[in-house]
Amino acid sequence: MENFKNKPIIKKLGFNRIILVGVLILMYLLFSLGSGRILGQSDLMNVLNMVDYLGFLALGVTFVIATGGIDFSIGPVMVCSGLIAGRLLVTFGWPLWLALIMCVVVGCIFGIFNGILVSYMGLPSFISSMASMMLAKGIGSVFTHVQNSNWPKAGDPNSWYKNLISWNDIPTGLILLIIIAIICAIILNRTRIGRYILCIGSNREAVRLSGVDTRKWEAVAYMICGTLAGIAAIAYVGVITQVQPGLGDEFNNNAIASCVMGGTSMAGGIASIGGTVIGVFIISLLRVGIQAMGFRPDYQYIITGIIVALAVFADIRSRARKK
Amino acid sequence: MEKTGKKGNAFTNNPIVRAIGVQRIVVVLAVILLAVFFCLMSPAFRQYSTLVSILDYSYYITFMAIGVTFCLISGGNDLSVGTGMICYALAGGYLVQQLNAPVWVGMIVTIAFGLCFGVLNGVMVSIMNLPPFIATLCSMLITRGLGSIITGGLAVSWPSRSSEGGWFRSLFKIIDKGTLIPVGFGIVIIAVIVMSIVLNRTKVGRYIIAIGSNKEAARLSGVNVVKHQMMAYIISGFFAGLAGIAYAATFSSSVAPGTGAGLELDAIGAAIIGGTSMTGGSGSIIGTLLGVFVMSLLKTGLPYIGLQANWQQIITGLVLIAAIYIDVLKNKRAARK
Repeated sequence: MENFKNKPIIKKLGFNRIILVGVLILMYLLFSLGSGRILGQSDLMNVLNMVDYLGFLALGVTFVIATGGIDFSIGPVMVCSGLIAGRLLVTFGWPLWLALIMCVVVGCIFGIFNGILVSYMGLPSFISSMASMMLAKGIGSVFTHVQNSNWPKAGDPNSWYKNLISWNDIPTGLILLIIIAIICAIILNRTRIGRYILCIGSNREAVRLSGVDTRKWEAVAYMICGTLAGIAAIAYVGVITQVQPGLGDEFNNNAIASCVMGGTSMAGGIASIGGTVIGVFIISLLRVGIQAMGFRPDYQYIITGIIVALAVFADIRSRARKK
Repeated sequence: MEKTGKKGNAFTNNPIVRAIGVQRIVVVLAVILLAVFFCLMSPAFRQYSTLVSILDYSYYITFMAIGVTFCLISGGNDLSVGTGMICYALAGGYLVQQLNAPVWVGMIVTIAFGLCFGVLNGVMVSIMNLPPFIATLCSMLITRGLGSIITGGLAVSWPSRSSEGGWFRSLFKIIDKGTLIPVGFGIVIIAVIVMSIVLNRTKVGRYIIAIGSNKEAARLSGVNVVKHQMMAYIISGFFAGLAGIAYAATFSSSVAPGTGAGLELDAIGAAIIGGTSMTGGSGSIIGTLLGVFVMSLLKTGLPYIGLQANWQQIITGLVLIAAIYIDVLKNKRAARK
């Protein structure tokens, strides 16, 4: 086993990631067996649809978790962006491109807000982001007067935004996600922003003493997270079309579960974009598979809870062993 | 509110003020101001029935908040109380409604479920060493799923007041010839007094405070950290079970799966407003009770001035941020001294 782990190609790909892909394939087989049929194109389309918006959320929260923080507001922020932009588009007659930009802007504003709360005001991130989760839910429903936001349906004049998710059976959403994931990986591993974010996660005090403005870079992580939640809103409306106010908290948990499963450490300092993307596939397949097997979707809550507990436990154990 | 640390302030050095605590006086003033504000803004608010409905909301929030206070003081947190409370009430109610168990069995099962999840949280936090908010986030997810799996996704109605098993509703509110008597307030006061004594006068409570203020020092001076940290979560689970019963008993509508998400923030908010520190080591149950009244006044009063549920979410969020920020500032000042 040690020999296998030390092979150069395995090292390059990452042992954990290979295991995760194995888990993904195993899950596919299990669900096919359990539901008595091979999961076909329509199931896989469902998986891909969920991967699209969940993927952007999970990429964003990876940056926040890398600083050692957490963001529980991303799901409701995504829904809130979709609601606000949808109302601007439909009721106020804004052009579609402006509404799509508005999605990202709303997400970014929430990200900056969270960043200020956590890094400049010093609030614990998990509780302050729960408070901004309430704010996002409330603002979304106040802005739309608790009405659904109906984005244009496929085939309507203003529906080219749907092509961003799938265009003539080509999963454009997946291609977009992978492009953005690559950009995120470059930012995280190859730029100053990413290095500072990771360093803040592993030893904040040391980074501060070496003259880095930790507050600023920590806030930047939250801003990136919010912006990606705004991009997720575009993917979300592309898939769902009709956005309901008051939803969104289950997406946080799914996105966070994807991150920790992919090898991002809850204690901060270690993050893997590739792992996060594979984690998103696992969580999405889990949801579709559970439904294909005829179970209530509520089982997903239980399984996600157990997965997060085990993944964080494994991370803590491996850290303790290294010491 | 920020006068706690100043030296030589005649008001804060007054022995009576010191005994009660500045923050508590401020919170009492806030409760009174809020109540006066709602009374001025809305004539419909000035009624006895409004007072009873404020108390109705306070029962389940108080029970959740007492448990959360213990977890916060131990340096942790419990996010599972909201969905947990609903899950336990669903489990107990399902027994009563579908399997025709007597109500007292349903109540015991509700509390037993709470205790089980308290133990689970305790094991995850103190033995597996998971960060408390992650551990309780997981049990929040598990209870959320479990509640609706037990009932098959349906709402459960505990026996109504007039039916045979409806006596348990009189534990919290007696309706005597149309007059409402909020007896639940007595239960809440007893619980607050008992848990204050547990926190301040017993070994368990003192050890929990010690663990919260310095875990390593507590361990080195021979405190069984694993056991007593676990106790905080078990207490929290027990009280979440009680909250489930209070919720089922005070509201005549049925208990629906999925309604518990977000209720934990009422409890955490109440505890922090009441002066319990997010960083552990200090806090009081009486303060928490006062914080509960801020939350339940907001819940009851805002609709009277035309602000519905969506505005309540915004205001709860802002109150929460303000309360934590005050706590952060207090800690900063204490660190500077």
